[in-house]
Amino acid sequence: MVLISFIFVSLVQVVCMHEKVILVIYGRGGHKEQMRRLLNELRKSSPNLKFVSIADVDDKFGSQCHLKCPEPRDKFNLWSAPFKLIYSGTVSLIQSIRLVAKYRITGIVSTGPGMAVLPSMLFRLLGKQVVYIESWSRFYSASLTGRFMYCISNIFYVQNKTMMDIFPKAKYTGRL
Amino acid sequence: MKIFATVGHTRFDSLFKQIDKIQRDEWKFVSQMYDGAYTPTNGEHIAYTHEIDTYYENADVVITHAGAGTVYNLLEMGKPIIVVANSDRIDTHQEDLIRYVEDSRFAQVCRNLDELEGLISNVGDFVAEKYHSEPFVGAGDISKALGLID
Repeated sequence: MVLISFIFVSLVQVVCMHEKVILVIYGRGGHKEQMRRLLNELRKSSPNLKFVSIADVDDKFGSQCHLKCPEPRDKFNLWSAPFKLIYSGTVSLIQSIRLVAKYRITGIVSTGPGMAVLPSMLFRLLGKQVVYIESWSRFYSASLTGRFMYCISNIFYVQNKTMMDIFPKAKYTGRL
Repeated sequence: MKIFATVGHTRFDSLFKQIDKIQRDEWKFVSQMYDGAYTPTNGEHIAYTHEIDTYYENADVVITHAGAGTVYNLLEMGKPIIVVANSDRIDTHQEDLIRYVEDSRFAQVCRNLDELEGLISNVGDFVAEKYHSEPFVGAGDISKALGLID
């Protein structure tokens, strides 16, 4: 019985490693809504889209493997905010290593917030693609995550034309 | 007038305290709470629900925190809304969106909760611009970049 279970698990892993997937990373609220809309758009051009995910909320989008990380921001306490960000970033980095070991991931796409930063750095070191979409609520100022991801990403999108003044090398692509 | 107040997935006790100061028999409030400590007593209150669109549709006006997901959904529905800056938060994360909505005249905005009652009174007179945005066209490029299509 143990041998059969081992063979079954090994076969599942072989199948997982053979199939191309992307890693999507997003946070709650508006970040999740942007990811919902982005996945709908990606499915139009890639109907067989398969993805794994890291988020601070439960999966509602049909992920192959969803890992829940801590919320990276404290919107109400100035002092605990940096610690929460570091903790969430570290957890999501470990989660992304687990996913890389198990799946054939071609790249990351994220709608923020900060938990995407460390996994994106890992992916760039591994020679994989990193795509970041700056928040649709940004018109006149950059998010902190956006400033980091502008330096890390292969492709950095903004959803409002006014943001091209702040991120001149970004691509404007309309709003989700 | 049926008024629905929503704070999405965030805490905004100051909004509910302000709503409780308003005493108008003709205004019927339903307040959607999240993880706040204060429970409003003016009208009904509910927890966050995935059926929230039904509450939007049933309301004559929606008072919303300035979370982009909620605001864009309501603007796309063409609903009369009042967008309220969440003064309980330590960041100014929502200020860009409030300024955009205000400058574009898509809705009334509220930065000072003492003005909320006046803004609700003004709902019938405020003429909002119709919301529009350029649609997202980056999916093909993202699919190519991530190796999903050739």
